[in-house]
Parts: sequence; structure tokens; C-alpha cells
Amino acid sequence: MTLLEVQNLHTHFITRDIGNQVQVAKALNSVSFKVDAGEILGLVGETGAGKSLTALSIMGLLRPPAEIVDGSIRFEGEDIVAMQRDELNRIRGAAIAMVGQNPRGALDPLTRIGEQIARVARAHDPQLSNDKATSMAVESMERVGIADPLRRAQAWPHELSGGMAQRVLIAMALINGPRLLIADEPTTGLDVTVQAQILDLLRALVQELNMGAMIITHDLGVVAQYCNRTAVMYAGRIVEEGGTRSVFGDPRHPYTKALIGSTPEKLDFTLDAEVGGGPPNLYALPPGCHYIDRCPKAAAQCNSMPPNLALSATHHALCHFAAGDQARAS
Amino acid sequence: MSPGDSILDVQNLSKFFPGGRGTTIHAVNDVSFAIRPGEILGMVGESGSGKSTIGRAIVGLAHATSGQIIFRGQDITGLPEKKFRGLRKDLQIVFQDPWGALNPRLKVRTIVEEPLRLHTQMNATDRRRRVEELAQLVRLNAGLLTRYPNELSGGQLQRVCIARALATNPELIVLDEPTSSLDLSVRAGILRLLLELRTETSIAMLFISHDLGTVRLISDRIVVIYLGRIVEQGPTEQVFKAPAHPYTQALLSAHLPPDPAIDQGRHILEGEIPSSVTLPEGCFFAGRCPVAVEACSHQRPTMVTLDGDHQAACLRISEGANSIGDAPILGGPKQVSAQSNTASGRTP
Repeated sequence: MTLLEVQNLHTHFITRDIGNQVQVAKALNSVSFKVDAGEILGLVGETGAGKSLTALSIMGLLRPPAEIVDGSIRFEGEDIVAMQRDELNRIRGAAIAMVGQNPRGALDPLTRIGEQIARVARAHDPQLSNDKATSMAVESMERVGIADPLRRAQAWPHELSGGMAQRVLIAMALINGPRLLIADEPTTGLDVTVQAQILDLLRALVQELNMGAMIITHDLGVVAQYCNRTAVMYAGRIVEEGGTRSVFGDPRHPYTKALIGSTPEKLDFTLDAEVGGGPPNLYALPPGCHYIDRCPKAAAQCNSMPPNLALSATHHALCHFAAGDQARAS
Repeated sequence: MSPGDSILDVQNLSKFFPGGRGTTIHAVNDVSFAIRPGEILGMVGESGSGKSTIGRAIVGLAHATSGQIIFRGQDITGLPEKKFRGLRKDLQIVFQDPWGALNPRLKVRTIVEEPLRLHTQMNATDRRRRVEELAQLVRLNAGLLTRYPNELSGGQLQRVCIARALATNPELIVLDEPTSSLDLSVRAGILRLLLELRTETSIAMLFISHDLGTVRLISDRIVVIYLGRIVEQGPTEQVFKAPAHPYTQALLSAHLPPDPAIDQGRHILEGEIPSSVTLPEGCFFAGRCPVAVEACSHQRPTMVTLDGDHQAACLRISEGANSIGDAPILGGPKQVSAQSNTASGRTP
């Protein structure tokens, strides 16, 4: 069942420069993807690719000058871009929940954690008694593997380690029984041994509760080991999307290939090929493929918009040459 | 190894910080290791394990509480700043965050030139030539020398930091997480540069990182550190292929290979690194160790030599019971215990 369907989403930063000229940074350019119940989609890319902005667009958390200029975001069939604020408030924090990076910074330092989790329940159900909300909070803490939750509910955020704070945020996200969970860099800043604990927890919860989840990360290891499907972002576009095994086993977009090739495990210093340069200027994107300036295979036709070539029913790549070298020759 | 063979000898180094309310943070506890000329030594550990403090102590940015740091046969522990300054041309450091490590009001050229002004008698023409040579060495476009740091990308800035560290032809560079704040594709370029520099200049490096993939790629030998103590050290491939200490085994198995085809049996540790304020009496890892026995919690293990240079500090090695391979794989939402998780040690 499709939970979330994002279609042709364009999010731009619209500002005026010193000469009062309108400046548009095209941060998201026709982003389309979907998330099904019971699966984890990994959204991967480098800094500035638009990963977090995609999450903020979905959650309706964009602040000016960022705005959605085109496209639709459907959650269970309803377009949430068109929704009024109070309608959206009923959904976010309840049916769609988000876990951010920097868990310690996401907690209110002056409120005990049990109370913070309970607040999220009360915000969506004003009739809820304090006692009931508190017992829900404790239950949610237990579900994310916090031992002795009754006592821990009385703890202050500064008493928590990074991994424990991330568990608290996941407990908070789960309290209203979300059907979709968006995790933005959930393990960045956590140690490897703790990272594995948190990701195992997320995966178990997705299976147990049949949720859909989207993990945003720059770590290919997280995607490779925990996500069913992978979407690779570059300069505000999804350049390749497919089953994780398919994308890692047979990457077709030159950027995906370069990204996988730059992981320490795959780095081959005997090769000359290396992703040089940086992402393009979002204020002046190239007309065709955004990767044209860094791509070793770039040709004349790359100045026109590349097609989203289907390589199988589920694997697509946004490249003129994604079908392979035969297609290029013919 | 006799001290003469190594460029740097760290012996029984400890560094404690006051932790407030009369407590003490034991950041580094009795650490001994050596670096040979031209060698890249990788230092791996999780946050709070004291690896950065060790790096800072070596270059004189932190003063050792006890122990000795011997550089080229000379004891440099606790050397007063005035005397240390003369050594800095041979002993350099590159920090994790290149944005914070460079003066935003100086042009790149001036930044790279600064160590030459401080440590050499070169005249302006020679310095200019040397700066251009360095730019070439770190593959930095010479046109960027006239720019300010804010005009450069993270990867370019890290190249500037490396150029600055190399300016005076040091014999040892401490690289404290030099690639952690950089994107994957940029990181690859920096790693390639470091490997090329080693063949071109034969500089010894201490490469501090929490990223196992990177450390494996770049280091000749590695040191694994947990709660400010070395738990294992040895040639990189030996440690990666046959990790002896249970912590090393768990650390390696928690690493996520960026390839879905690799499905390694993982051993998830319970809990997190304990507080460095009150150190455990016995083995520091005993509280999280799947193969710990009674003795582990009151007896400090000493380094056991396994094979040539490969050493590990675990009591259970002598009985051959140090492998966590047969221990149950922990994890999952219900099983994960959180007993030791509050107020995990945070060293400054």
C-alpha cells in the first residue's frame, strides 16, 4: 500500500538581492518518489543535495524564503500541500512523525523526558488525561528499549547519552501510532556500536508496526544494510532510484557510481577517476543534466533534460546513457 | 622496539581533566605506543575514548598528567611553550573542522606562509615559491591562494590545512579526524592526497578517526582505544582479519559495509561507553563484554602478544575464550538493555 507519494515536487528559495532583483535557488527540482507501508526508503546524497529539504517539505516545516512552488505530496491519497495549517497539524506528529538529527538539541532541556513525550500525545488529543498521557509515554519508552521506563521518564535531557536521547525521540515519534516515520540522519553523531542499536530498533519497529519509513542519510553503509529501496539525490533531483540491491549492484547513473566508488571499501587509487568539483550553483542550474560538469561521460545531449530511464519495473536512472553503452552507440 | 627505531614514543601517557564538583575525568589512561618514521598509524575509537586528547598531548596542546612523550629521542612531555615552539616545525597537526581551523581574515597564501615566517629564515621570494610548491603538492589550484577561506569549499580548505602543516617539512603530522566533516567524494580526494604525500615525502602520520573503512584504507598499523586505554594494536590487516579483543570484534562487526551483498553476522553491543569519571576497577570493557567472566571486573588485563606486532589486552585470550563469535547477537527493541546508559562520559 502506498503511504506517501511525492510527485514533481519543486521547492525554491525565493529572495531579493541588493538590487531588488528576484533570486531563485532551485533547491528541489521535480522530486518524485513513494513510500509503501512496511518498507524503508533510503534517501542518500551529499550535503546540499536537498535531502533534508525534502523532509521539511513533507512535514510542512518550510520557512520563508523556502516555498513549494509546484508538485504534490499525497499522504494516503490526500494532498498535504494544499491543506490548511490545522488540517496538517492533525496529521503531522500523529500519522506522520519525524525524528531529527542532533537528538540532544531536539529536546527541551527544562522538561523531564516523560512529560515531553506525553505532551505530544496531549497535543493530538486534548481530552487525554495527564495520567493516561504519562502511561502512554512510559509504554512508548518501553517499546523503544528503554529499560526501567517508569524511572527514566523522570530523567532530564542532560542526563541522557546520545543514543538514549535518540531513543527518546523515537518514543516521542511513535506515541501517536504513526503510519509513516521520517528519520533525518538518525544516527549521525552517534558511535558505530550505538548506531547499529538504533537502526536495528527502527527496522524492527517498521516490521512490527507495518509502518513506512524514510531514512535520510549521507552514509551509504546505513542505506545498504537497512533500506529496502534507495533513492540517490543530486542537486535537488533524484538521479537514481530502485531496490537497494539493484542500485548498489548495478548502479547506472554516473553520480551513483562515483558515490559508491568513493566509499573507503571501494576506493581504488589506481584509477584516475574521482569525483572532482562540487555541486552546481542552485541559482544557475545547467539546463539539462545537473551532473554535467562533473560527469566523465558527459556528451552534447546532456545539455537537454535527461529522461528517467526505466531499467526494470522498479529501478530508474535520470541519465541519457543509463541503459548502457549499446544504447549510446545506437 | 627500541626507542631509537621510532620517531615518536608514547609511554604510559595519562591525561586527567577536572570534571567539576571535585570529580576527575580520566580521558587517557596509561597509553603506550610508538610511531616509526614514514609510517601511518591509525587510531580508532568512539567519541569520548580520548583519541583527540592523545593527539593534542603529542603536539603540546594538552599537558600530560603523567607518562612520557618522546619525540626523536627527546622527552617533550611538559616542555614549556617557549621551548616547544622550536619543535612545532617538525610536529604538526591538522584538525577535523577546516572551517574553524583557518583565520577567516587572512588570505590562503598568508595562512600557508605563516609557518614559514615563524620557523624559517626564508626571504619573501623563497617563501612565495615554497607556498606555490605546497599548493601544487596538495593539488590546490594556485589561483585559490589569493582567496579568503570563506570562498573555498570544505575539501579545498582541508587541503589548505594540510599545506600549512606540511610547510616546514615536518617529520610527524597528527591528523585528527581530517575527513569526518567532508562529503564522501571530497573525502576520497583527501585520502588519496595523504597516501600520495606519504610516498612523496615519507612523513609519519598519526591518523585519528572513528571511521573504520578510512582507517583500514590508509594505515599501516592501527591502535584501538576504548575509554582512554589501548585495547588492541597491530598491523592493520592482521587486526581487521583477526581482531582479538572483544571490543575490537564488536566494533568491526558494527561497521556497516556500503554494499547490500555483504551480510555480516553482527554482534551488537549493549549500552554505551561508560563514564570516564569513575573508571571500572578491572577491564574497562567488562560491563559490555559478552565473554566477560568474574575476574574481568576486578583485574586489569595487560597487553598480550598474539603474533609479532599484534597485541591485545584481554584476560580471556590465554584461555582462547576471547572470541565473541559464539555469543548471542544482541539487539532488537525488546532485548536492548539501557542499564549503563545514563550520563555517559563526555570528555572535553
